[in-house]
Amino acid sequence: MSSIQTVLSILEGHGYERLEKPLVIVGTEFDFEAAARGTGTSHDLVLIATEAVPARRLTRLVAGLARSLDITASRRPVSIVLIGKVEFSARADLETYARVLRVASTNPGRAEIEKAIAVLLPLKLPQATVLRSDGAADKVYEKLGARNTSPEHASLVSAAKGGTERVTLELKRYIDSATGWNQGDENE
Amino acid sequence: MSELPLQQLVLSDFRRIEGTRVIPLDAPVVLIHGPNGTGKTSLLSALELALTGEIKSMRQQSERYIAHLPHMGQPYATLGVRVNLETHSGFDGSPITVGGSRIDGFAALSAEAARFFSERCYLDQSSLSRLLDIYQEKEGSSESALEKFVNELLGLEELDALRNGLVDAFDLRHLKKLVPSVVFVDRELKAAAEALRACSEERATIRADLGAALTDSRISIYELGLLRADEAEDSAVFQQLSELISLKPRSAMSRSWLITRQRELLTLGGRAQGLEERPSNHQLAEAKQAADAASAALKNWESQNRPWLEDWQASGLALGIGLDYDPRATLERNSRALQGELAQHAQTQKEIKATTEKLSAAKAHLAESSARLARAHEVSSALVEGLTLIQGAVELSSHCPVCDRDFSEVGESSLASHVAHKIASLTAHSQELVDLRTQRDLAATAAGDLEAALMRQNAQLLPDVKIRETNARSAAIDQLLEHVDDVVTAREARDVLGRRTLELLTEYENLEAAAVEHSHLISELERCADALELESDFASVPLTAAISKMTSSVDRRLAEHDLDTERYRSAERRRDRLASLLGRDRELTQRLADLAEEQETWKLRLAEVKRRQNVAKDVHEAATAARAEVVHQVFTESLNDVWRAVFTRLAPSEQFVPRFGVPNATKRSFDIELETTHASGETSGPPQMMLSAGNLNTAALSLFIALHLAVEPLVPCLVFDDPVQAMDEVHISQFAALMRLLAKQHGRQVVIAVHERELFDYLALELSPAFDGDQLLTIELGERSLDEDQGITRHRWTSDAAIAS
Repeated sequence: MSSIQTVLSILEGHGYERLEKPLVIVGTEFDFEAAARGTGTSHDLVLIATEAVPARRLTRLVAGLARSLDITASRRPVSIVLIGKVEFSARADLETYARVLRVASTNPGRAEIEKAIAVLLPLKLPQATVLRSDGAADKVYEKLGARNTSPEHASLVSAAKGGTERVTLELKRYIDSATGWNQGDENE
Repeated sequence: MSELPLQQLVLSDFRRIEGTRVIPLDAPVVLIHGPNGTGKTSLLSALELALTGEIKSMRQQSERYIAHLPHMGQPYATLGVRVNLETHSGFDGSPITVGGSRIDGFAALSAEAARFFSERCYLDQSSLSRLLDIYQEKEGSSESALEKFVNELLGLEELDALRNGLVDAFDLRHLKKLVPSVVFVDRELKAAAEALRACSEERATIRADLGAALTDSRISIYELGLLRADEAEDSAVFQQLSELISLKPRSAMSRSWLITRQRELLTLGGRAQGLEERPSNHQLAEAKQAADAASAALKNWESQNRPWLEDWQASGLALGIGLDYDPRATLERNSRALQGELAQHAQTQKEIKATTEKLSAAKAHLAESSARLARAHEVSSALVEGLTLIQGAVELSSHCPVCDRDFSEVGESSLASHVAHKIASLTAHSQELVDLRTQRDLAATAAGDLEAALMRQNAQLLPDVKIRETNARSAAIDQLLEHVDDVVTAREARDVLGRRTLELLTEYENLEAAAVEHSHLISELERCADALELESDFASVPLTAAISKMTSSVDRRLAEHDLDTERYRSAERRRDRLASLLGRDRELTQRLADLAEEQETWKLRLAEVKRRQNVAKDVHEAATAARAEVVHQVFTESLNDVWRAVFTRLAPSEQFVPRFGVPNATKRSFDIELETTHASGETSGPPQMMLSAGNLNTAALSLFIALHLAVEPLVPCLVFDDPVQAMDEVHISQFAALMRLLAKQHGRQVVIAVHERELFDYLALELSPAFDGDQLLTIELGERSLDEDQGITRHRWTSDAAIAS
């Protein structure tokens, strides 16, 4: 799979839609190597270019596209994924018209591409909160394994909600009740 | 867009804002533009105050910041806010009034939501550049903001409570301290083991004693029952011995009876010995004969002499003289007395004669003396009387009245003294009269005395009758004295006879008594022999020998009796000891069983304690494992992954990515340390060392966003006050893309205030509505706010025809 295809596949994996070549904006054709646009809550336009396209030409293309968008008063944000070695001055020129997402390698891996275009991709957020209400207990049970989940274990685990002192008290009660001595003196 | 958390802010006379402004906030993205000094920050701090009740950055500078909040010259400011959030219970939508030193009214958010907003939603302008420092600052010993965030995120309270609460389970000593009853169980178990050991030892001792006691008991069985010593089984020994003791024969001859016999024989022996020392029986007849002869001789003497002796004795009695003892002396004494009386009479007669003669002479002398006295008395008394008469007359004159002469012629002395001298001499002459009278009185007395003596002597003379009687009596005594020798001789003869007779009779009586004693002794010995069941032949052997034999028999029987008694006593003692030892052995056996049971009970309890200890340990270990997992999960997935994701979006070309150092999961609290990882994967120094100032800001901003994203969005909005001041263009475009992502794909309402026009325009383009229903609110302050629309523009989505669909 070429780098362009990899970029497209990653984008498609996150709800982007591949655009037909050539890209037509308000009736004008732009010969980008590949393009995609956001769907749903995204209306980004993503252009993909490699070092195969000369920088001056690429700059002209992007400038033209920007103008076309301006004409239609489009507020669509434009990003360009640059793969390979592109001169800094060319990149700086491009940045005037669009967000430049650079993939430095000529043949980048998927991870490098993902890192470069991450800003176009939704964040992978963790479970909002690791432990909810009974989360701690559940986690402890999970570690104890089914074999060890007896009411005895449960009495100790459930005391955790009351804090250290409550757990200590429960441990004391639990052990004390095994000694068969002065059952009533627990509170002494 | 009712689900958007922030809806509207109304502020009056607040800081830079003069008058009242209504700021709509009900769009996914709100962009605020204002050149410096136009109230951009005032607006955002008004939002913070209306939501949370304070402006944290200002409070940190001065607690009295409230006084400065009303617009210059205004006494107070009011702030009202409309939200779709968990509000404070007292909040009813009314605005708060701010002024002086107080804030009246309720801030909109609940305490929890307010804290969330101020810590995780609102990044004020001044905080961004110092964010990493602020996060890591510790006020005193309390945890830093970052530590607080992390700990909240970790939610390790329960797991830590479990681990800390159960930590004592890992050490039995600690567990004992926590649960004193475990000490008790341990102690009881040891005590039970010790008691068991002591009891076992005691039983071993008892068993040894029991063996000895059984041997002794078998000896007794043998002694009493003539059984073989080992014939009885151990279990039967006690029974057999008890039976033998109960069958003890009742002896006819008790020990006391034998002792009595022994003493009896001792007494009889003494008596027998006494008998043997006496005269023998045949002497009895001789003694009888002699006694009879003596009695006859005495009787004969009596018949011959008694009459005359009695007559002689009667004659004495007639004279008033008892003659039973020493008649001669008695008679001679009486005779002498009579002779004395007669001699006295003759003497008295002689004295009377002499006295009579003296009396005659005395009487003659008396008569003479009386005559002389009469004469002398007559002469002297007449002269004295005459002179006494003259004395009065011559006192004053020397002329004698008798002779009428002058006395002075005679001599030199006076007549008066002469007379006086004469009277005195006559008085001296009267002494002569006294002497004469005395002589006469003496003569009279002598005569009287002699008369009296004579009368006494006459009285002493015996009358004639008496003299005759005395003489007759004397003659009678003389007559008795004539026979007194015969009487004495006769009496002596009788005494000899009487004594001899008495002696012989006594001897005879003694012999007779011995014979009786012998007979009695034999009968007593026979009785004794019968009682002792002995053969008796006291005729042929001496009594003492027979008695000695009998005594030996009694002694032997006593010895036998004593031996028998001692054996039974010993058997009883042994039986009792055996019984006691058997009883104790039974008790100890039972006690051993009880103790073993008790020990088992305590063992089980201790085992149960240890099992429970293990349960607690399991739970502790599970909690530790869970904690490690949570820590790992939080630090890698929740914090580092999100932070990395955000940071790399903002600074994609940075080789060093900041992250939290993953701490040791078992430690109670974490020292939060920030570090970086190089693209190569190697861990490197802290962000402050490894990142440029620009990227350090990016790191801080990305950390702020990451911390917001790591937890459940209690207040799902992000409010930034000029966040991109130090960013280059690339970063700004990345930031814009990230904001778009958060607003449009992750449901966070985003409010951004910027002061640069260009940036504002760029962001307005980047964050423009992207889908149907999407909106963007732009609020322009400064002069633009004076326009009719007050600088507020609501951008709505319009279909984009640029790209053919």
